[in-house]
Amino acid sequence: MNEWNIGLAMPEWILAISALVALFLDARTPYHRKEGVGNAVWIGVIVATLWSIMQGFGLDGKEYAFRGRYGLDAFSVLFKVIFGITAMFVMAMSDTWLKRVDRGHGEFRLLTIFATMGMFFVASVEDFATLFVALELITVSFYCLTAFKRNDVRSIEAGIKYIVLGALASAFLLLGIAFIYGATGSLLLRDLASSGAADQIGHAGGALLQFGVLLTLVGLGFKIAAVPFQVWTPDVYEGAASPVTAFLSMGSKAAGFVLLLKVVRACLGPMADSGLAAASSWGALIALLAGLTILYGNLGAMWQGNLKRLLGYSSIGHAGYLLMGVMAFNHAGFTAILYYLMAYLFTVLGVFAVVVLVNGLTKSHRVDDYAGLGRTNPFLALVLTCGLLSLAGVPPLAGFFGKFLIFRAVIAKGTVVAYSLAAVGSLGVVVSMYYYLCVVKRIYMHEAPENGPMKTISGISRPMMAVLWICLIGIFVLGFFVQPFMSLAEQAASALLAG
Amino acid sequence: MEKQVSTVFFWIFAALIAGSGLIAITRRNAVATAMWASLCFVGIAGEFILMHAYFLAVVEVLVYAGAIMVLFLFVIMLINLREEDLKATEGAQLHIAGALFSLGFLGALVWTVRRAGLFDIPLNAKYVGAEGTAAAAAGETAQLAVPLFSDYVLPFEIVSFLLLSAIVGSVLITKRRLS
Repeated sequence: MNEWNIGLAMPEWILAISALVALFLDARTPYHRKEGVGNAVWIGVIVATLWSIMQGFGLDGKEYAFRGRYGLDAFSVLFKVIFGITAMFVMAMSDTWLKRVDRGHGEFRLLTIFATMGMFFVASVEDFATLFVALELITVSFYCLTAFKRNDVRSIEAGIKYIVLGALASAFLLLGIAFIYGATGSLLLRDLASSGAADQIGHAGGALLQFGVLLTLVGLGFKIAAVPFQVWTPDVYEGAASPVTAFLSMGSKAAGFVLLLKVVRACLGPMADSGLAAASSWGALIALLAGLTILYGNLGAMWQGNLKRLLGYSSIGHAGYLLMGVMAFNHAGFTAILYYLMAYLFTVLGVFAVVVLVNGLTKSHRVDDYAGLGRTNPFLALVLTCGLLSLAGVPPLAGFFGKFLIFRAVIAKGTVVAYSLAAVGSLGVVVSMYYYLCVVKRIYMHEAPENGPMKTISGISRPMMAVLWICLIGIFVLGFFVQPFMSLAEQAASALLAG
Repeated sequence: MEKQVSTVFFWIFAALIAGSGLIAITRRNAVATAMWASLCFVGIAGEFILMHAYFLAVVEVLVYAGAIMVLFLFVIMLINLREEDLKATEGAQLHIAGALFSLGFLGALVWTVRRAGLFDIPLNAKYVGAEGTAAAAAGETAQLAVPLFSDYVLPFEIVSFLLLSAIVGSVLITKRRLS
């Protein structure tokens, strides 16, 4: 454990090198010829993802680097692959989107790869110092990406809201880390787990530790957009460019959940399944947050006429379902979260791919302007419909199985809190059916207005076509062929619980 | 005698931090806020000296009271706010909500520290690891530097990419012509 073993972090180094090469190329080429930058970034992400997959095959238990401050196990590999695929899909979308913008092509790609690098580091975090720095690398890149359309008032407003609330959340996170360090004298997550943090809760150091963990959860709650730290979400989702919103809704949220799971497991891990009094009060707290998040997200989404805002609220709702898995707090719950995130990857990115394409034609995100999509662009309409139905959790699709696993894990707890949370969750599902189906109805049942902007979209680039197909296939495969993905999720959950 | 003196200084610096912090957040003029905040940082540096953390005290003054405050003042002067711009943001409800939240947070902090028994520790107790003032002072930077480039080299390197990302982003957002 005390070895440097720097080669273990090769995917991150590959991303770092490709970012530096891209930076160099960006400085040397005129603004209308940024293909070199794009290629460097693409190669970096593809090679880093493939390398992570290879590492996953050769992995034996858990390996450490940097004297035990960087860890690699099945859990981190799974998330690195998820982040890599997310980055590729987002880059395909941004290649399409950037054609409509005449500036900042190089910078957009650079910030994308910096954020991806932060996500890769997040998946391997072993101590709080790295946790904070890697999280900030993601967040700072997203601040700039959100404000990218600097001539657009809404984009600037979104950027400012995000940076102010993000800074507040970072302050809470730092204060929490300081308290945890003060209570345990170590920044390592596994020291927290092995020092019997759970047992300490009754002792003198316990109060400091509890407060620290609480503040850390506040900081991470902002990242995953859980109530009551969700206020930024709809505005930022609406104001940011569509590829950025897609990246936020998948990459940033998944990164928040990686850290949440790691911290929760380090603090309360030894109490999994044992049902201590302290654990159940934490469980009740997380259950309360999950319930409120589900209700807020799904009820808020009902009144939205803007599709991106609607997806913003629905993403709050999905954070609530994922928190239900955290509340279950055992192997089944963690497996369910991982499966849910895998399903969410294909589902939400497929939806956003269609949003990017349609927006290029109609210049609008209003749900009303999707009328007639089924007639003019049957394939896009099919992808969008399957995506929305999967988000809603309609049976044969990927999203259904994720929700099923989450609910099963929660109900298996068998306590009153668990049952009421499951009831709230089902209410959320019913409400979400309504607003997702309203969009589907708009797509198929309504005619496009005679002189409206809706026409057949042609000239979809090959990477974009690939994204659409992969997402469509992924939505069905994760719904029908559950077993291989389920076993991946189970391995990763076991690795997480083993520490 | 030495202990009593350091206790007296502790309370002076504590009053300085709390007082200037409170004045800083209630000023309407942004320049005044920045100046009071820098006084607050000086107070924090004083507390670090009392804990024999001399290097941190110097860094606090250099970086916070010095560099960051100059940056703040530059930004404030470049924005050039007028009186009427400041009035427009007034909202009594928001102020009350903010005050309630802050008081609640203060209460939670005090309750936590009390329950953890930190009030029982004498004020002038030295922090763990400082054996003898002179030795601690000499080893101060080494104590910081060695972990920074050994155990914490990974976060240190990530910070360099964080700064790079911030530079790229600020160029993107502020530069007039990206061509």
